[in-house]
Amino acid sequence: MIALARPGSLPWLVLHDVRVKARGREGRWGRIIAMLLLALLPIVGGAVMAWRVRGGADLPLAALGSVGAVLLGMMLVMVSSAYAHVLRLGRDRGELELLLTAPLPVARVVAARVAGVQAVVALPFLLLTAPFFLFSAAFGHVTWVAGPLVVVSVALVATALALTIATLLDRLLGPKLAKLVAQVAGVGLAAAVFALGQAPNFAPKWFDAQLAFFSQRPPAPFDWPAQAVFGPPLPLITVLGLALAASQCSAWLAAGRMEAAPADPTAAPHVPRRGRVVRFGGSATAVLFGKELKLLGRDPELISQIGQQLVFMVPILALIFTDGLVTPARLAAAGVFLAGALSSSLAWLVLCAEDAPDLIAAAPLRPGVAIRAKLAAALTPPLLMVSVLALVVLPKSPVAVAVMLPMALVAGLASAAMQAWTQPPARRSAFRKRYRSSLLMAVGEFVLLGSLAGATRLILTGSWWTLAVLAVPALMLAGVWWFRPKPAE
Amino acid sequence: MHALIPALQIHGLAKAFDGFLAVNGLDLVVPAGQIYALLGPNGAGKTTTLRMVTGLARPDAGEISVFGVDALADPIAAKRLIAWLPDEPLLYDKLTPIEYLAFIAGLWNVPAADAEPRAEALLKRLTLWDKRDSRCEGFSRGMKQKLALAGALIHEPRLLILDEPLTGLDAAAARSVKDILLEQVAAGGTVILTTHILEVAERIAQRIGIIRAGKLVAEGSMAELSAGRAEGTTLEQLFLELAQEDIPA
Repeated sequence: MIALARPGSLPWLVLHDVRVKARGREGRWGRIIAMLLLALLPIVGGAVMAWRVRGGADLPLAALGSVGAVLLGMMLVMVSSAYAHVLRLGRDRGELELLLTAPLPVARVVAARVAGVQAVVALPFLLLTAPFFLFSAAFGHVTWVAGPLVVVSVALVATALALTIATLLDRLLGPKLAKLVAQVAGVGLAAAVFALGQAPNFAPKWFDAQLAFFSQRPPAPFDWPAQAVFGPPLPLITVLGLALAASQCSAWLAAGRMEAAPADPTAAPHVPRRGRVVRFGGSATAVLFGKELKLLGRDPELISQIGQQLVFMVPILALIFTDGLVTPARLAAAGVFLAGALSSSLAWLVLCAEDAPDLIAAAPLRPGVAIRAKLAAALTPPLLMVSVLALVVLPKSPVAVAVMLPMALVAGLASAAMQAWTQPPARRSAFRKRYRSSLLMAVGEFVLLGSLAGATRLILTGSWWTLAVLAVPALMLAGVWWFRPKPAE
Repeated sequence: MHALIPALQIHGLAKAFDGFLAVNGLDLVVPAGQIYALLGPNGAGKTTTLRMVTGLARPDAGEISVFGVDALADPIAAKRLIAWLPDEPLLYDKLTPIEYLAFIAGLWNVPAADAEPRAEALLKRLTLWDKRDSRCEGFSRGMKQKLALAGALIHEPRLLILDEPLTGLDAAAARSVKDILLEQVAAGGTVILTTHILEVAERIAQRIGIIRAGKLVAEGSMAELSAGRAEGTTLEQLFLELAQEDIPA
């Protein structure tokens, strides 16, 4: 497709960016087919919804409040997404410097990069909403073709906002701390959105009240973005004008970032803490254990990602506490599940994401020493977490604690074994993406931990079903061990 | 008696990857107390050979002996004698240099009384002492390479194996690394290195082995290798000549 554009032109630069980003992804065709199948959902859904509202007014005043709230939510998610891309602007120096040394206007190179960010930010929402607006136009609401234009406008404003925030944070905190703050905030925002999505299950009354509040129509001109979706000229022209101004602002800010950004903000020197006592002479087990805990503790971004993954366990906990009843047996089951989930994350980090595997392999260690030390490091935080829960449960049911602690250890060991036997070596930075290549593994882990949590509860209720439920993780582990990939050298 | 035992003795070493024979019945003897340069074009099998010596890869056939210790039968004993420094430094970005050295000392079971002063001396020697409490994540490639070298030396290995040790180093750092290697040999140690900078091999190595397609095609001191050739023949000329020759089956 790049051959169709004039070399050096803005479309050519954008297509070049798209080509570079699209290549080298494993399972590309599988992913494309999955995306096409996913795209069918909004098409079918959009057609059905458009058919249902075909007879209404061209400007549905009663819906403006809800539409405004949706646009606001969309803007928040877009800012978060744009921020992640903005952080990389100007930092993939190798290729950027090649483009900047080419005889092309710098403004065009910058515009191509910004256009890439804007497109990536807008695309998912366009795919979701455009079918509805286009079908609606076909069914009679012709002016609703403005909807996709407003979505793109929101993406342009969100990109400009993300660039503004990034520039301000860089100035206030410095690039390294700004990147960290942004990453932790991004993870926090994603977790908050997810937790909010679960609010109808946990707090239906509160959720309904919030919904009613945000559905109210705001006073003009704050309702203009919502009006613009349905095509009245003045709000639409205003929104498009704002978006174009934001786009210009983005190009200006991006040019500043590209000139000022260091190749890698993490390359900024770490501020040393003098006087720290480093103990020499520890055993191999002790130094490996200490090393793993230090590496985990010194990576706030990683900690926030682990925390986020625990937040994603909320729906499972909802199943355990389905009728709102909190009993020691249910708390014990929840503790076992969470301990297993946390162990799984930490085990992946210490076992699969070792930064210097050759160093450990070249050391004169007896077989098993390294893996035992690493396992101990991975299981320590989850067991500490469960111990805190144990202190809460102990006064009510010492038996529940007596069952929960060993079962948490079993869950930790089982999930660590799943990681060790199935996951290939990877870089720590791949932590969030580790299950993307294997949905089976992700589901398997849920089943494993769910069975162990269920077994914990059944043991405490004295049910003979315990044995049957315990057979599930035992069989799963045996199967995973049997079919594990042959270790590579 | 010790001097008679070679630092490294390899016999009939072979390793294939997906049908490609990376190392093809290699025989090699590295005498103790020398710098030995293992040269060869890209893909000749140098790194694979060294990875098998360090216990990072299992040979398909052959024998490896490090100072008389059978490295395949007793890998732990052999590893105690070896330090391995690949071209990509084996570091942890979130550890400081002093923590890194304490970690390596622990892996090789070096007593604190020996490791602590040795770490200080190495960091000072490699001009990293002022950075001892800074995390490695902000280090340049040269600094990382120097720290990895300090890690390799903290347990006083008898056999130091380096794969492209001068990659990414500035002139001063490269000089100090070369000096350290010479000191290591002067103190009775043995060094095996691979390098594409043939002038370095020519200047500091007592013996040179040229490997091609997994086989040793020439070996000896610079004088031995250039015997029978025009006066003033450089290692580069020799290397290019040998790299183009057909290998006898």
